[in-house]
Amino acid sequence: MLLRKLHFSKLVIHLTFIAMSLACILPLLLVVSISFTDERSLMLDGYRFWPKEFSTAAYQYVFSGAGSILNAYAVTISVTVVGTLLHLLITSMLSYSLTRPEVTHRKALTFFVYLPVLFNGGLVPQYILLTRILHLKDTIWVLIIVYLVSTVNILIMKNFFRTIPDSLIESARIDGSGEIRTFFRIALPLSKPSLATIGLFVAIAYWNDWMTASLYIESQNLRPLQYLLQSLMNNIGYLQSNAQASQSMEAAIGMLPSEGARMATCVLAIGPIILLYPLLQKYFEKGLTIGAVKE
Amino acid sequence: MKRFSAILLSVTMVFTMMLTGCGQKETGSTDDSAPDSASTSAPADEKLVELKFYMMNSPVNDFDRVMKKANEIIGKEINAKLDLILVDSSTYAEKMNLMINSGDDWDLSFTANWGGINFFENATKGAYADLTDLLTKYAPETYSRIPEGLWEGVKVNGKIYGLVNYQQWGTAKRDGFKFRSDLVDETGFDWKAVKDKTAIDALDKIGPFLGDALAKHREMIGFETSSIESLFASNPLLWNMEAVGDTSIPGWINLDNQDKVINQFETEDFAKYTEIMRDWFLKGYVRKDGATVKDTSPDRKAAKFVAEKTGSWPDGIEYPGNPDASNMSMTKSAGNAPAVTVSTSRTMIPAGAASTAAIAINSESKHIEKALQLVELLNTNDDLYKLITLGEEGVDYNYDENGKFTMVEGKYNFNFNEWQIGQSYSPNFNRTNYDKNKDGEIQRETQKIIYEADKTAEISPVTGFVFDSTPVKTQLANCSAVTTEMIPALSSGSVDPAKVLPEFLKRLKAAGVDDIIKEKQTQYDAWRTNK
Amino acid sequence: MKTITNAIPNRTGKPRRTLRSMRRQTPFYLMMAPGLIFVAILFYIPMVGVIIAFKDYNARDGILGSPWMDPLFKNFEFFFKSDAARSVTFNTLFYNVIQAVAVTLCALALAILLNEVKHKFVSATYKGSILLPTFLSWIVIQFILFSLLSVDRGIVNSMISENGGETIYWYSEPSYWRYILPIAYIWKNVGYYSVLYVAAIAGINTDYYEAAQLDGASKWQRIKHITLPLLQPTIIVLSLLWVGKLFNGGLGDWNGFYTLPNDAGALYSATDVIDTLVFRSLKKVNDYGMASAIGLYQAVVGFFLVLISNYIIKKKDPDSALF
Repeated sequence: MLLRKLHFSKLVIHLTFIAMSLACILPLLLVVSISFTDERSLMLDGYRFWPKEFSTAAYQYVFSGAGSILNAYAVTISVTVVGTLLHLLITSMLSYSLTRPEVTHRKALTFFVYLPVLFNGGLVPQYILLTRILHLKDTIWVLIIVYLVSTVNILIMKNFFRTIPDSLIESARIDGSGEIRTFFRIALPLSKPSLATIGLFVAIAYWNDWMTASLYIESQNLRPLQYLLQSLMNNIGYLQSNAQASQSMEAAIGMLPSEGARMATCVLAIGPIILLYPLLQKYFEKGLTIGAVKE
Repeated sequence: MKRFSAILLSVTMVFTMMLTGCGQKETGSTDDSAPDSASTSAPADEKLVELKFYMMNSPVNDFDRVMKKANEIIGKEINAKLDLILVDSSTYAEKMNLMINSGDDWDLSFTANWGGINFFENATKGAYADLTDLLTKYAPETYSRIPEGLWEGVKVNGKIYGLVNYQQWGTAKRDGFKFRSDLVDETGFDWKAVKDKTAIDALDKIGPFLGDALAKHREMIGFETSSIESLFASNPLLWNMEAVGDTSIPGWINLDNQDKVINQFETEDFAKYTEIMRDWFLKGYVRKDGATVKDTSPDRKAAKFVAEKTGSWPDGIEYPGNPDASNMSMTKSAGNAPAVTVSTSRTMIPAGAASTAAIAINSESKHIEKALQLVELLNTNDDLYKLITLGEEGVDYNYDENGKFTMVEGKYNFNFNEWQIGQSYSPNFNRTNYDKNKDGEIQRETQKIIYEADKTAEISPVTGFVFDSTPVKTQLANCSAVTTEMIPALSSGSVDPAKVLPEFLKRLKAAGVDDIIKEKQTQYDAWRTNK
Repeated sequence: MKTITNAIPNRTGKPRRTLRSMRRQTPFYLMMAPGLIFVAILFYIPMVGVIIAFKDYNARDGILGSPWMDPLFKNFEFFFKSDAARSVTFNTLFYNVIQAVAVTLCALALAILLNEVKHKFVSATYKGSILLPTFLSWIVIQFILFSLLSVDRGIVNSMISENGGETIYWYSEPSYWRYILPIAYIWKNVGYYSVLYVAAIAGINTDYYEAAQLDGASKWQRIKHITLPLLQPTIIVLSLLWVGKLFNGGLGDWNGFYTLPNDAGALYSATDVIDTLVFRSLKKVNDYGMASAIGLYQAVVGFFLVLISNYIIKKKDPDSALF
């Protein structure tokens, strides 16, 4: 009886997750399918989960239009890696310290960190700060610095650190470990799951950001992937509406794969970052067991 | 954990090295190039001036190669270096407005009265340099080559703030309609009778034709409706009207009564128009979801429309055989949608024509004269202009044995944005990629007709008037919210005008439309007496 | 702040001696320094910009030099005079409450269930799948939604018509969007929050569970008495963050409300939130002053809501309060 009940509840759990997973995967398959569908077929037959007329025209367009796509990948990957690691370092040090009772003004400091979530001056002052005061326009640092600290992540991580038992830190102190050393040797390793989680989200933010590049980057060789793809996609619509004006061009432009290219850019853009999840997967599991640290 | 810190450290180091390395190389290369090109330039004592020119463009292949060649010419001619900065079109307006509002450093930029680029606002605020006196001195050809009246369109308070990018396809406008010629033949529709009719009469004639055509071709759509474009609200000329200030803001004038600013949505024409669209909607001539469809290009590409609005002229009656008028839009590659074109409106250079595409110079720029010289050079040096807009012949493009222009795939591509960096017009029409054969000759002839018409066309009575919206900002914001919500529904027939039109007008009144009209009238009157 | 300073001696058990306490604090301040400096520079310096809300801003005079508005609150006027102000405020609150409650409940449920899936690979696959939508931008989601719901080419309508049903005009009927929008927000965000809660559960000391198991506690009891209470601080922090954004469309992420309905006027009654109305109204006018005025209004309301909620939480559970 108990066994059957157990199996039944397991079945329900698995069915729930399978349904959820399908709801999340199928739309992406649709994106992939459209990116491989012939443009005319999209117009006439509509969208389908499996291409009726297969075509790679969309990908050809994206690759021929962007000679610098490899460079763009390099920029995006550097920014994502450096940005995420620095973000994690800064955030974890700050939020850990904010949980320590020794820090007398920690509540006031938390308030200081929180306030900008609500109040911000908008784009103009930010633009002035980054370009005219910090002189970061058209440097790779501007892409990194805009997401370097996130109040939300600080507050979330603060909670993660609070679950570390005081006794552990106390005993490290008794062993003569300095506070900074204790943080790196004990608190951080214990927080691997949360670091991996926050890190994943930070990496996504860096990876998907194209607005910063469009406002602050001017050199072609510093353009990140998302910006390049976004721009290529906008170009199709523009070319098509302009083809009217210049008759000789209309034939040359022909049936540019506008909808297909939209989806192809999407596939190219999110493809690599999705691989990050399996890479980080092992850190999502439990951190070192408490016993292991004690030894 | 050690590993984590080790990775972090090494990555950061590699990264910083990469950066500083790049940085050094970059500064090195500019240092190298500066004396290099300076030595070839004429006045050796003058320092090479670098000019930053912002424009909208998508990624360009081999950009550096072509720009290097271009800068050899520019360096030699005017001792300057052009730093052309390409910004994605979707953020261009926002970026330029940010740069202007934060006092950032730029010399030239593409500017326009559309897409939020705000030519007039920025000119009024003093962001752009006053070019009235400098223009004839530093850019005489740029000034004298194009129809005089166009310069009125880039004036604010009598001063010129923009360099008109006059294009070879002209500026005079005449609105009309396009019909599928195969269906015209099939149904025996007398399309020529639509010529010069008022918009309402034209629509009354078109309606039965749509019905006949659709009866035989059920899969087609009679007329285009979308949430972006309204046959009424976006096309004043078709209705014999002209917008006073921004087209989408209430406050137009009737071209036959140019003294009085009216609320275009209170006109009888608008009421009739909404009734016709409602009728078409109920009869199934237009899309059922026309009020909410944003992108109609799939329908166009699939050649689904029986008729459409067109702004292209010369039309099929006055100039039969004109290739621009012989296909439905966006269907050429489909090759199955022949069309006939007929114009209904008068020929006029709209007030916004000149500021549709122009170049502005930063009023804070240290090199205003040099920037003007650059524009003059771009407009008069055909080799330079063609180099930037098309690339190098033999490398980036070719003429095949039939004299047909073809681009080399994967090579330099300016994405046909030549209209942003200068005038593609020149008296002998040799700044474009016309085929070197008979087709090219025909096009050249058509362009000549258009240019002649531009010189004689009626100039909009509103040209040169700039509406200062500051006193009615609140009302504008609220009216704009109401119109974007209601216009698509009324223009696509998806709501009953008998009920919704009065409601719409009531909401406009509540949002303060009368204040806007009154303010426009006051400013318009003042401007006309001073003119 | 009095209560805080009182709390320290109690916890460390060593009152007075400020010098010693300062020395003990030094390493922590060293660790906090980079973060605090970045917050100060990146967030606090631009905050000067909030006064643009009261200014007739122009570039030449700059933020400080531009003249004050006359009357001072004129930039706020357009929103409160708008006939849609009331309905968009309702929509904003309506969607925010639904979204916050639904996302929290779903994410908690999924996280707890995920914790029950013992097979490592299977649980990783589930996690990976429900995370996928988090990677997508709203624009991509709009493409997906459109390919599902488009009238003539959409998958849903072609399925309906294959089964002989009547075509549904999704983009013309506001009432559908009261469901579509929250579902889209939940779909996009639930993976993120459940993985966050999974991480929080992973941080719970396993000793608690072992002890409970020895005492013969059932699975449900363990969830109720160990997991949920230990997740409570995380839930509270997220809720407090959301309370501060209660008057911002989509709890601060309003882009979906603009892009998903294709900016269709017919749907505004159901889809418009404060931010989309403001964005649309100001697109033509392009006025920094009016834009920051509404931002300030939302922030001030959020600020008081947070202060009140924080005060209540502090009374009940001082440790969970934000400050």
